[in-house]
Amino acid sequence: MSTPLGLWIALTVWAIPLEPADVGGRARALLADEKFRFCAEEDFPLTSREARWCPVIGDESPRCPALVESCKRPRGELDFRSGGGQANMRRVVEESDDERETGVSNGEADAESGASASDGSTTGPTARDGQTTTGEHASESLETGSGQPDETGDFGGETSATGEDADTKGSDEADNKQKPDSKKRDKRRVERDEDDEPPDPPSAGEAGFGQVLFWLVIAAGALAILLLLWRARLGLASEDEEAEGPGEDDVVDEEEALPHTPARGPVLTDVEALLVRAEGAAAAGDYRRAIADCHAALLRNLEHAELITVIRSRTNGEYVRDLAGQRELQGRVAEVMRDVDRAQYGSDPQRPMFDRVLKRVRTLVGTGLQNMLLAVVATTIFACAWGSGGGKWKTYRWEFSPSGHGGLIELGETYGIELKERVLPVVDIDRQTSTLVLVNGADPEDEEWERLAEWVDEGGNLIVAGSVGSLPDWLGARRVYDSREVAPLSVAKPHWRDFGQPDLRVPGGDKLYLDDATPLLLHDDGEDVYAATKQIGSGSVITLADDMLLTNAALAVGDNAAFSLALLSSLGGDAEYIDASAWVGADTPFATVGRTELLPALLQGLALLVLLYLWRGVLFGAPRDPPRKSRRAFSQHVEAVGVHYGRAKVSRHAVRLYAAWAMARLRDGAGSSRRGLLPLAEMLAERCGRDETEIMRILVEADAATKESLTTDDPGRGDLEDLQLMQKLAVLVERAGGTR
Amino acid sequence: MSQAKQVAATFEQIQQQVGRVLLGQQEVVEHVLIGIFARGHVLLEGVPGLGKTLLVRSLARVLGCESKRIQFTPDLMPSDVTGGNMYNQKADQFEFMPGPVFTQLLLADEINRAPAKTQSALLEAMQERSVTTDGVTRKLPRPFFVLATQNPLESQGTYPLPEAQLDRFLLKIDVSHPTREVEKQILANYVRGFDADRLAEAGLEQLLSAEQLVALQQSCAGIRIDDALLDYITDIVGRTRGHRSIFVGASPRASISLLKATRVRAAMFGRDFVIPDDVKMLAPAILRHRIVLHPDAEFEGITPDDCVRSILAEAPVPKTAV
Repeated sequence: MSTPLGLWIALTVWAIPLEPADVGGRARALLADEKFRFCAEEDFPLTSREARWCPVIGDESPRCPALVESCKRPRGELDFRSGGGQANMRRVVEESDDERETGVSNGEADAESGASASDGSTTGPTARDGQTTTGEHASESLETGSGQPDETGDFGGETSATGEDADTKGSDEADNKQKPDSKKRDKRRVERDEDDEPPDPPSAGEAGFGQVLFWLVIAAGALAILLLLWRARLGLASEDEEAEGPGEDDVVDEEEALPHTPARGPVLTDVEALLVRAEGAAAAGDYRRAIADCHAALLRNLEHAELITVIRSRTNGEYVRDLAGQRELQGRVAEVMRDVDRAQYGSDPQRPMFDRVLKRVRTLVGTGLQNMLLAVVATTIFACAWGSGGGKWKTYRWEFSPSGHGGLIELGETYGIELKERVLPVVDIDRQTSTLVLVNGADPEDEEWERLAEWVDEGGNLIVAGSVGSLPDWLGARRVYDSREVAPLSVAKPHWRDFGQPDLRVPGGDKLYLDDATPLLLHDDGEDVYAATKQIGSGSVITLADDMLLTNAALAVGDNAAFSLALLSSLGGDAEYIDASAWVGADTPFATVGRTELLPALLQGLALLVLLYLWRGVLFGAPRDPPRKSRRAFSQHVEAVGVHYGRAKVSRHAVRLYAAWAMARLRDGAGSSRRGLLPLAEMLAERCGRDETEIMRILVEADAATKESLTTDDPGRGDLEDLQLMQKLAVLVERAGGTR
Repeated sequence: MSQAKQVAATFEQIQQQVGRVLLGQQEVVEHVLIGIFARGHVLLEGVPGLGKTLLVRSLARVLGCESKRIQFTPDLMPSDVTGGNMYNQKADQFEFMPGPVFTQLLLADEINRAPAKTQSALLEAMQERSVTTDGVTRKLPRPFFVLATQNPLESQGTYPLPEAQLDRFLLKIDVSHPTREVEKQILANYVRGFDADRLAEAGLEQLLSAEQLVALQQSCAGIRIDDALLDYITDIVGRTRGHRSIFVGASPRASISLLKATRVRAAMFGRDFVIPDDVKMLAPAILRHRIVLHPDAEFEGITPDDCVRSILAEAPVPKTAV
């Protein structure tokens, strides 16, 4: 470390009271919180990677007591399919026997001998680690010539330590060659998805009673559906048998009639509500009202099915005849109507009649309900099957898991150190951010690395912890595989003054190969480097072999928490971090819905809405009889014809027709043998008591109108004068008594 | 078996028997039977040749009743219907010679061809079921039932029945032409040797005696009718008096007729109670000849059946659950 940086770190560190004992005490109090379930639940399903802390923890952990027991339990797996990325991640609680054996043996092997056998089934962030560290592991193997087997469980299932793999994956050059120039992140995501694919759900035979119970529930649901279908299918047959049983003669007439119950409240159109009300009325002994409600329910149901239109002036017989197109249904409805008629207009109904009517009505209206019930059951089972994934999963918050960083964040807050997730793009980083921490899964793109280099050069502090993709050369360090199981760490001597000699322990796995960086933390052999630092321009870079030191599990061990906080504090206190959660967002809204497992629920809701619409339609208003079509009066027809003439501007044509009719009437009424208009005018003047000249003028105009050609283009004297002529003629016809 | 079901079974048998010789007129037969069992008279309106006489003869044979037919003509005298006192030289006294009205089933064919005076002679017989001549009133045999016909097409030389007389008819039934298929069946019947003049050979059986018929009439009168249905009948008949197209509405006799007919119809379907459907189904036949339309309505082509239909479409059915 250069002198200015060391001085700056020293000044900053000593300015903040980060006593290891104090930090350890606070870490213990923090881990006692229930949200750190791995410290409270002895059956917490640790992943293989998290289980690497087991040998570090040992047989006793005052800060995280349950972790010791969890280490003895079978390993768990992460389920990326459950959605939520790292924020919420499901872990399978029980594994198959084979997996359990593997997991336990791994843990034991790790604890005892550090053997590198692994189950290779780990998914999630650790798998990402494996993808990016494989080459470096191989590289280390090549460089050291150790040929040690790779720990495939944590670093990729495909990884092996063979020379062939090393040739293809081992070197940085080879690693770089593997990097696609474009859409690298998408490709990595695809690879990650493939690796993250959880194992197939264990079969009932493998998973014990829980699985058997699950499949029993599924089978029971399927059987219930089949049973409902069978009953719906055979409902008609049973109804027919029942119809042949008790007849109308079974009804007992009673002399004492029940008082007629007046109409109660608003008119109900809901079928189920009517049936409920019917049962209530029956319970109260008002069977006539109860049957009336059943009757109403049946009518409403038929109306909703658009088979009939309920009108108050229609009789039951008419409703039955409306169903002529469906003979089967018609017969069944007619049976109900017979009982209803008897109850309403015949003898007083009794309980047997009500039961019979209710049963028949329920059978008739139950089709829609049955369909809805079937849909609900089916979609519920579907949703359960979808959501459960066929295994026994539990959801844990990733940030408070052993691999999360929530503990360090909260602990930092108690010391005024703010560590928050970066939500802005890396390329937009500026001096507002003093420190940036890249932890597992951050995977910056090339251009982002370039921007980070510029930012560091301008004075930013970058901490690269764990697998963050291929490390660029300018960091001055490369990550290589390390076989040790427990890695006691010590602060490099130049930094003793800054950090003292804290008790640092992390799981083994990786170490750094330095190019031009200087060591910060060393393994217990004093040679292998776990963390290194490099001054670049006005800023600095600190590279850690992995992010174990920053995880929640690290808080349970030694002075890890104190050192991490001191490190952050030395870089200015406030920092931003980027982890895999930056890339776990769904590509499409549909994928988001799928990850949240809301798809079955949404489909279920949609199906219910469709069924509700089909069943109930849009009839939510108060029922009313449809408006009756009334006949128009004759005068309205005449008026309509007149309006048509007016719109067509053919008033002259109307005058010609009317004048011809009026002249014929007037001549008939005159009864004179004399021909011509003059005798007619004389007679009309005498009969009407009007001026003969005026009448003659009217007759001449009318006569002229009658003689006009149909094809004449003469528009006449205008609509108003044509109308006046017709009115004058009408008066003449009326006074002459020739209208009829 | 309940009494109503017995009546229904009898009705069914009668309809089957009559249906063997009178094809395609089930509704007419049903209404005529309702008229008989309601102790009413029926006016059939239809062109000649639709089987009206055959219907009467068939019914008479099946019901075990005596039947006679009067062909109404313009020169028909009242005494030709009722009969009159004739001088018996041997006995040296006037003796009453009963006319054709003294029967149980009387077919008054083309009743509107006789003058009003002759029609009136039948009026007393229909209403009072008795005939008065020379101050002596003679009861007609029981049951007594008039089945009158009139031709709706011819108007020359006819005397339309006055409203008062029309009101005496319980039902007015429009007899329409048979369908093509039914007409072919009629022909096929004749091809097989059916002869309308020899009903005995057609296998028609007498199902009832006159006494049994009267007993059934009385049992029909005991059919229960709910008070709400009385309101319904009153409402329907009352609406004929306020209808915009009707000049003279139906009389209370129409309400009584409707009540009687609905009871029979209920029994016909095996019920011991009347339902609104009975009222609705019979209202046109009961009311169509009892209302007089406004001239304007007639001019517009509105028929009494249109008015009755509109009334039935407006009158709410009692005790409806919705």
